[in-house]
Amino acid sequence: MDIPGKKILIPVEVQAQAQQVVLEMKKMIDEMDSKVSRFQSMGFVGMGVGAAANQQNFLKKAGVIGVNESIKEQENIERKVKSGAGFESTLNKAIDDSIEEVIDRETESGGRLDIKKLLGMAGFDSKNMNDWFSMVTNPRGFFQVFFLRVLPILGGVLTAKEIAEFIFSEMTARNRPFDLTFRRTINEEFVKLRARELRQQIRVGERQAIFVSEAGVSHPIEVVNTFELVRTGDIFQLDAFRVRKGYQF
Amino acid sequence: MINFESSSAPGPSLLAVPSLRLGDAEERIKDYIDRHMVDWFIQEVLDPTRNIAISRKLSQRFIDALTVVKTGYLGVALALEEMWGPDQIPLHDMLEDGWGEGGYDIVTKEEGYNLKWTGGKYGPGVHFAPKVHHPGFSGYHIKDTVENWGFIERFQQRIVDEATKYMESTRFI
Repeated sequence: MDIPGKKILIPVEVQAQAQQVVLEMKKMIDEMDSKVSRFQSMGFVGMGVGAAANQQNFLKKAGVIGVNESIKEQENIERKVKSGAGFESTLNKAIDDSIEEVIDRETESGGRLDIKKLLGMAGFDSKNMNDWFSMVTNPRGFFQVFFLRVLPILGGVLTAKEIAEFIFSEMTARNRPFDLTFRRTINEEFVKLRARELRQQIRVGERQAIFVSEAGVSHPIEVVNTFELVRTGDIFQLDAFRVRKGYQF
Repeated sequence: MINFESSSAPGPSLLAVPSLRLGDAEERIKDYIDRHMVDWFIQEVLDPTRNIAISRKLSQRFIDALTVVKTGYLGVALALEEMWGPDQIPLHDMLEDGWGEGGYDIVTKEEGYNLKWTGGKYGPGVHFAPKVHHPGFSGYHIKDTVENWGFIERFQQRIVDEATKYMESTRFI
């Protein structure tokens, strides 16, 4: 290639180097692709029924499941599709099932308040007839004992929210640690901001600052007026914190 | 139109955007190299070459004449200015390759002491003669120097390093 006015001594083409980098990049993409396949197989990415089949391919490719399992899964999906259940309803049902399962596991009563369980927790055994017998003979005493036993449990549950709110309000009240930290942070930021603003104002000449050297020294007092600097175009000297010799008294 | 909430309907997933970006990744990395290669060439080839020229006490005129030119997409070259002096005489070939190998004599057409030179074995000052012997000039051979010092290889390695660093630091893909 000829350039007018120039003699080319050594031409260099870097296509090969660019290609080398691109190959490296493609290797990285392949690695990422395998990671994405695993990610998709975990079900984090929402996909339709049609894409679910692709998911099986991803699983197979990633080596997460065997071929037989994937065929079973495929059959399941096909059966669901044939039975008219869309993916959405299937998904919703699955979510409901899992939620119910969790509730069952936690409460062992299908999510409803179980008075028997509550009594059991309070120490009343339903099989022990003495407890129930006392209700007939001494109802006042029974309820007294009942509430005394049950109240700590119920109270703990009912007052948890209030306790949390109380702690929060105490922590975030005026002159409490959260409040102090927050205000200190804001104050520091504001001081920094003001300092930057001031410096910029001095720099562009919207604000005047006069620097005077310390009195009582042997050499003459040096005064620097920022307006002078702006007017004389020596603004960069001020910006670099170098004080120029100004008027001498 | 990309559907970002494709949880129920089949369609492009959230990974559509990254996959679209991957489509032009090759062009983008080549463009990055193309944009910055002149800077890297100056740092890796031109400046060291000029330093060598300075250490050999070559003329400043020649050092300034060394330049870098962009010869096209992903192409760059070390170049020398063609025209020299106020009369714009093309001296680049002579300076690079030399001339008058073994020396040669210069004789005036007209009789008389018309040829002038300064210095030399006759001592300082101006001398005149009808015939002079010129020893010739071997040339600077900048091209061979650059190739021997391995500046080009360093430049090519720099491109690979810089592009890789750029990809890693900017999460390119």
